Amino acid sequence: MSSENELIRLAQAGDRDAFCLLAEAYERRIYSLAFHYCRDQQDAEDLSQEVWLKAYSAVSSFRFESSFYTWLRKIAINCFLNYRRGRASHFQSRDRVADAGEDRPNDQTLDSWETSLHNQLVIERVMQALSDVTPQQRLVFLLKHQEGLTYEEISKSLGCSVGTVKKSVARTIAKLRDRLGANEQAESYISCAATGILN
Amino acid sequence: MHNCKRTKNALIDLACGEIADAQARELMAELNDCATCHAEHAAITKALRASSQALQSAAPTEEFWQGYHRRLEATLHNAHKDRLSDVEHTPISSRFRGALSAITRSSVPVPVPAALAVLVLFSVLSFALLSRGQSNVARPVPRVIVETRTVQVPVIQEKVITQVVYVEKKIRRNRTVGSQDYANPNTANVAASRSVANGKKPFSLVGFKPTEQVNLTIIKGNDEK
Repeated sequence: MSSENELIRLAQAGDRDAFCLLAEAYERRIYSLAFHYCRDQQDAEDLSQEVWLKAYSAVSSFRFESSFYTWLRKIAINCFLNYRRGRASHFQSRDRVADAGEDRPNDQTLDSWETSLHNQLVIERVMQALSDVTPQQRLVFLLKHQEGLTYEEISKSLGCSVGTVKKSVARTIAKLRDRLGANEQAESYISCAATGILN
Repeated sequence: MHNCKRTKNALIDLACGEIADAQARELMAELNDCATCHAEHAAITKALRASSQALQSAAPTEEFWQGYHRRLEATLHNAHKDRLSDVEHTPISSRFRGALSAITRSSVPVPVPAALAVLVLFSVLSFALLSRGQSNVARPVPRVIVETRTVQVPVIQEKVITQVVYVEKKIRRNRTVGSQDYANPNTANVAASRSVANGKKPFSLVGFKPTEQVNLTIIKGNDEK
């Protein structure tokens, strides 16, 4: 933690390499959150890089009152909400920062992520369930079950009531249960996911 | 008394870990007694577990992350260069204004007790200074105008005591004759010589001086003698 604080202080002093080291520590979490939120790899990369650019320009305002990741997640949530508001104009006009197409995952590498048919099926159904709900409900669900925030923290982050957060979570779970085959078939899918994906 | 509807409403909170331990234990005990609620809870838990495992498994490969980090570094490098060029091209006046606005907007975290102590000290000092300043202010001295007035003061009149003296008729007659001349000392002497001629001791106020000091002699005696 002290080394992280040191890196933050160096980044605040204008050290770009120190900030890159910080980014390396958290880039996967931010990217995963962005990917599950927008469900598109290209958009997820653009969105996550937007988060890092904002964090880089605002790192001098970080006051060590919370963890660096909590501060970063706030920036990410704001970026996600802005993405939802101005998706069409913002992302079409935005310049692509790096032309590194060969580094992006292609279909083959995507196939390598999902090694078994069962796992792929479960993942697809979960993604479909997340697509069925609104972006805010999806973000609430991700913040709850991927980031582990409480209802209270989510309501503060998104500026909505705790009741809205509860309803969003309940609706997403209902969609998940619906997509996963409700009570009867869920058992078999989940057992496949539990055995196949984790191994 | 178990209520399925009420329990089902709490099942999502239970699965999300939003219920306190004691309440969660009570709820779990209720679930063991109700097969419907137990199945509902199991379905929710399994759906959540499946979704979290699916989200985790949808992570890109290591090759992707290497490329992603390179692209991110390039993005940050460009942003750094843009920032530097902005600073170089920014005139000194706007830089100064920016620094000034940054100073005015900046804040320092201070512990609440220290802030309170400073606030109290400041208020006490300002109150003391204000009260002291008020006492030092020269008050305007009113101009004294001397005016002389003659005021008539009523004086209590002296009490006049009249004493009635009874004398014999002869003497009174003589006195009435003589009293006409008492006002004049010469005539008083004439009256005295007349009374001597009548063979009586003359009555005169000559040589009488009224004294300012009165000595009283009180003679105590026995009434029976």
